[in-house]
Amino acid sequence: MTIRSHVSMVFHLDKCIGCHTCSVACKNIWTDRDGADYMWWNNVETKPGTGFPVQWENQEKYKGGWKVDGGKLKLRSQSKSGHWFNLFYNPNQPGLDEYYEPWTYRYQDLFDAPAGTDQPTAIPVSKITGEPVEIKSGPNWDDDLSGSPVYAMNDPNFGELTVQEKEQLLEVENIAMMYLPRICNHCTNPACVAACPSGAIYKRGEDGIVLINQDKCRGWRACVAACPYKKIYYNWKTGKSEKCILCYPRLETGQAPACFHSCVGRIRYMGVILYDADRIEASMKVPDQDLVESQRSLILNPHDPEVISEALKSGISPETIEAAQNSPVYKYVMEWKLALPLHIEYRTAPMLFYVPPMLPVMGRVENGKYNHTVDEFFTGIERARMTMEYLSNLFSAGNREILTYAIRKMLAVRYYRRFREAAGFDLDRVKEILAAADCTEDQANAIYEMTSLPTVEERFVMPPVQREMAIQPVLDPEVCKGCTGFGSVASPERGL
Amino acid sequence: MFDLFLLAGLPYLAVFTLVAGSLWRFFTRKFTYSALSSQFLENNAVFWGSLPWHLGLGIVLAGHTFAFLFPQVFIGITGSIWMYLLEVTGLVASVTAFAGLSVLLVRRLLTSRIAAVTTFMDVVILLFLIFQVALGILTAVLYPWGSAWAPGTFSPYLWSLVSFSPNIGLVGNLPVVVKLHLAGAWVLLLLVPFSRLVHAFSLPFRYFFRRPQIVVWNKRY
Repeated sequence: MTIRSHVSMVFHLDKCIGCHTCSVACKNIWTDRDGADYMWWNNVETKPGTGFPVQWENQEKYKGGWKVDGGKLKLRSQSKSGHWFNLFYNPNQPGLDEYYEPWTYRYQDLFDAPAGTDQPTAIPVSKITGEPVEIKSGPNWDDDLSGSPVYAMNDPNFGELTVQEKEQLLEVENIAMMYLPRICNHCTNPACVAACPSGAIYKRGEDGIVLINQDKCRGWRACVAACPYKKIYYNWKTGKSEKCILCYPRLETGQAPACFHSCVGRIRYMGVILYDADRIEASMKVPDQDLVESQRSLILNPHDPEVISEALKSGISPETIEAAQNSPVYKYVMEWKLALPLHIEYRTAPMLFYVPPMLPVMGRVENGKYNHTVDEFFTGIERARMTMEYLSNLFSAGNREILTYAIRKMLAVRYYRRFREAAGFDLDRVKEILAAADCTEDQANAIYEMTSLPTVEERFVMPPVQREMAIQPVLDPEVCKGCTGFGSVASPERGL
Repeated sequence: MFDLFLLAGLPYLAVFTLVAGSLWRFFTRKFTYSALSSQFLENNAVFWGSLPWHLGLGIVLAGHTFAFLFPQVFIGITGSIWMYLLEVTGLVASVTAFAGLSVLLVRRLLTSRIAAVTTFMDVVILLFLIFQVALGILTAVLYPWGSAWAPGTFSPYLWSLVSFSPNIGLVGNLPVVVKLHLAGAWVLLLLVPFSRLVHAFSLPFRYFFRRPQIVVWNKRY
């Protein structure tokens, strides 16, 4: 067993209000540059919806992620020999039009316009060509448009929903929708790393952050095609690929990443997870339905003495193990089993987990009255607006049981807290509901505390970076030149 | 005198510049090594340009390299089926490469998005390559059965350069078109470190042998 530590994440979708503060925080720090202006390392999508780039979940089109072929995991986008042809033309790479053409406005026209009877306008111009453009799409073009037939009906996750289920979702006057904030998942089985012809993409050993060495990247774009989440972007100006770096310079100074820190709904949690690195490939070869459980089996209990001693042997510091024991991510994913990976069927074993949203799920308009107190309790889940089928296509590779388990538990916690805060609830009934949801009173309280009242220190439990143990201070810089730390010190000039 | 420069001086200058310049660029401005793909900005014409160009070029270069390394293989090829096969393959490949280049040039000049990322050197390189491929095709058409005569001229000429005893007499009496094709090759090599052509050094051979996951540690064990 080789144990690795991973700085891992949970997004609590029941708390996301879709304000895009995370996207803006990220954009201002990292991608406010020519060539990167169309990139959104963090973006928030409305679901049902087509997302960014358009229809990114449609792997028939983009060929992202892994497939099981002859008992082996293979990239969908390329084979070891076939990748040669993809160097010259990559058939699976989305073009600019599948994202959007970045634009600005000719503000000067407002000042220079001659006096006249009309208001002067600032026309939109492309940030690439400088020519006037007709804006046809944007970074968040279908925000809140879930009910719109143009966008929502094209959602690739509809799959096998019945007509009735689709209608349930898309009743125009009672739009059911949820928000899906997305950053790089920093997968344990990253397809981008495996696809890179230059070997420029790597996982950091200590925290699992996936980074692109900009000096090694040769702009072959295989990673853009291979990442099923389309979270690697090609910088058209520098000719290099770029991605979310999980704000590692912030992490290394003890701060949470900008998108985490700025989150208004406080939906984001960050913590350490210990996992067994020897079983990554094996765990991702099981049938779709079993993938969530299989990924959970990779994650190790940081309280188990045997795991602790193995972890120490694998070079994980006691401080990191302590962080793993206090990890909110471990609680959500392993203890409570509320947080689920997004599209685990791509088999990259993403390390970003989502607590599925309940609010748009349970509410229902009946006879003009909004009703979310379901009498028959759990059976109400089956008639939910955001259908279990749809949510399980997103979060559990179609396994409804795993998804429903999480929703039932959240519902039970809510019912239990209502019992604690308000009058008129029967204790026996509450206990019955908790038991049916595989939850105890203690656990319900813990879930409530971590969901509603956590402090910054409880949400972000980051291990110390241990710079004193890093290569730079202990090794002659002449010896390890370029082997770690800041690789590129030159300005990012485009090559001739 | 001019021949002496083009066929004996220029080759050494070109190869020296190629090696020294590329190494200098690699060690001081590593970030500038990139294929600089513009497929992201224009996704259609690039298929009809880049793919035929690179595939055609690959075949033609393989042929040239083979003739340089193993000239003796071609002895007695004259008139045989192999000669015609070689010639047809080479001609088809070079015409394919030429067509691809033309598409790339038109695309580069006419697409406004591509124009936004086009440098002076990009156009120079494209024009030079077109010129060079055209000369190659002309050679094949005007002075046929190169696979029969080149191993007796082109190969020993290159070997004479490699052994530092340049013998331009081997190619000095060839027609102007052929000599220009030779000189053009040296000019192209000369331009490599100053252009996007450095991406040719980045062909990812090591990809075949590496494991799917790469992990870099910050700590020292």
